[in-house]
Amino acid sequence: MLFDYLGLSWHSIRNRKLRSWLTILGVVIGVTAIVTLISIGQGIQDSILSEFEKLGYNTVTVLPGNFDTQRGGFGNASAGSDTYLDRKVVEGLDRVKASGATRTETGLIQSEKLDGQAFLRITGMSQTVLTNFDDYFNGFQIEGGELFSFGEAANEVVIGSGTAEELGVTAGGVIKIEGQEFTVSGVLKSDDESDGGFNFYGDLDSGLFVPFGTMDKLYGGGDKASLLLVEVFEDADVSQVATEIEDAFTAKDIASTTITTEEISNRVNNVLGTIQIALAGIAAISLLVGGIGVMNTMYTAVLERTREIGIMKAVGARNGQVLRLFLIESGLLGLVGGTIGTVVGIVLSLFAGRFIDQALSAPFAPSFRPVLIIGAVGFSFVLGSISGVLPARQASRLQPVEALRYE
Amino acid sequence: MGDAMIELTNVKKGYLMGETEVQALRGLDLKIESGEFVAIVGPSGSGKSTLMHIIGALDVPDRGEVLLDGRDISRYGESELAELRGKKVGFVFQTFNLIHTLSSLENVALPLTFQGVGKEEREERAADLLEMVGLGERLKHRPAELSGGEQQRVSIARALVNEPEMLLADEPTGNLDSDTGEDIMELLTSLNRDKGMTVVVVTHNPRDAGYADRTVNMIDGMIRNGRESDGGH
Repeated sequence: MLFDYLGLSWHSIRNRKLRSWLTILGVVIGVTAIVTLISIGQGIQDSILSEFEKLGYNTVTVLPGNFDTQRGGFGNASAGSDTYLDRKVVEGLDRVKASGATRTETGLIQSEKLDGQAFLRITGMSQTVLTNFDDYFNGFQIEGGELFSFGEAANEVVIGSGTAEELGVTAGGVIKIEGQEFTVSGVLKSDDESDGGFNFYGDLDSGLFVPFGTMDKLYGGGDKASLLLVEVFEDADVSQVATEIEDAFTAKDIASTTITTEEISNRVNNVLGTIQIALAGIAAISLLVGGIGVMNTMYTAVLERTREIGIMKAVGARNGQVLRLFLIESGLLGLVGGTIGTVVGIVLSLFAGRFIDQALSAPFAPSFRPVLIIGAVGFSFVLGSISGVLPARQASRLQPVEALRYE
Repeated sequence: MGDAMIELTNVKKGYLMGETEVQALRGLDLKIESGEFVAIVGPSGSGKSTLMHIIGALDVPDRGEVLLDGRDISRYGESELAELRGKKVGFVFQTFNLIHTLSSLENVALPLTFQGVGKEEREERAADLLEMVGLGERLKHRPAELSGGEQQRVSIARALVNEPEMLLADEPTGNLDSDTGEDIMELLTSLNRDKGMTVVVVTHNPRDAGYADRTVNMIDGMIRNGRESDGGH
């Protein structure tokens, strides 16, 4: 039965091609806007979250100072903070499985090839950062040479590819940090992802990296750290441990801020979710306009086909059947528009995704959740049908005799 | 003659034409037996078409009784009337009233769609009927590709597809040349004679009326007394 009606509806849509396509276009634009905006928004959200999820859900990140994380001030660990953390504080805690520490300073660097001297970011890291939190430095992949040895007292440094270029050294070369000679043990692989994106460590390409202990030799301060990564035992309540860590620092009179992956993902979800709803709302307005277009077309169709309706009634069509016929027809306009709009939206956001991928540091791909695709197509069918309710009712209530007389 | 197919008693029907009410039927009595071929003749405005609409369950009277197969349909609601139209009556119109976007086959099959008949059976029955009216080669043609006479044959096939008990034709030859018109009247006659179909034709063409067993003369919304005559074809 339904297929018979579909056939009849499809017939009449095809019969007034231009008007049908223009009406469908109205729906297409609305659906395209919705699919594009939501899939890109969702993609950005996924991309940001995946960056944080690299740290794992049982990791607590500790920053010095009282950041108001409510306002999203977790951007750069070393920025504008002259307080330090004490890495010993977290090591004593019960539910801490492992902890890693980094300390970042601006170092005075000299090399033979370099004309004069440079001030570059130098980061010290504990071995555990690489063993337990290897995603933190994006794998810390060394392309030329090898990693410095943590235990030994030798002055060794690993440098980023950009730094290597700037200083004119390769693995095995020698540079001076704060006047002391260091051997470049390795050069990092150029990191596409690290240029200005969603990570704590900043740009891997332009940094210098030494063992944590070396920082003490260069700058003093012992266990002073500018960022701590704390791995909590799997069965522990991460946010509770985070509070314990803050309390432990407070007891030592050190201001600290903890960030958990869960907290971040909640906040990112909240903020981006709100933005997405706002964008979808705007797109929904264009879809509404599309719906009004369908209604307009259907009213015209009812007028045009008054006589046809009369004929159908004369040969036995009931009011409900005429109603259904017109509802399916308007639903089809919506469905076709929704399907095309979804496809165009997918193509458009894949296209836009390439640019966003370049603009964002993190790898980005628009996210097409099944619920979005099914929802967009389904909703446009419903929208079309709803837009057709009034015209279809008008059609179904026509008196057969009068409808047949209509010229 | 058999039982009364349709019996109208004191049927009144008025229309609003602008502000004035026009009485199209003014207390009309009419009885048509099953298997009869009746021509309803009269000048335009005499209420022929209104009568036809009431017989064919397209409209209900303001007053009076309409018995179809012994049941009073004058107070039927929309869906009951629709059911009657779909099962008991077949309509043939002066202007054919085919749906121009559908092929002959689809036009003829259309009434079956509303009765919930499956596609295969619909098309088989429609094709058989088109064959019967001599359009077996024209199944896929659209109305615009057919001559007037052919279109009227399609519309007759459509009227027959639900196997109705009664065929109502409103000026079926009105838009056709006289030769073609005669062919159509021959077809209606053979349906009546060979298949026992009750046929009611509204016409103002005396030649058409000549095909009928009986002619009913209408004037001013009434049947002119004493002018009911047996046809002599």
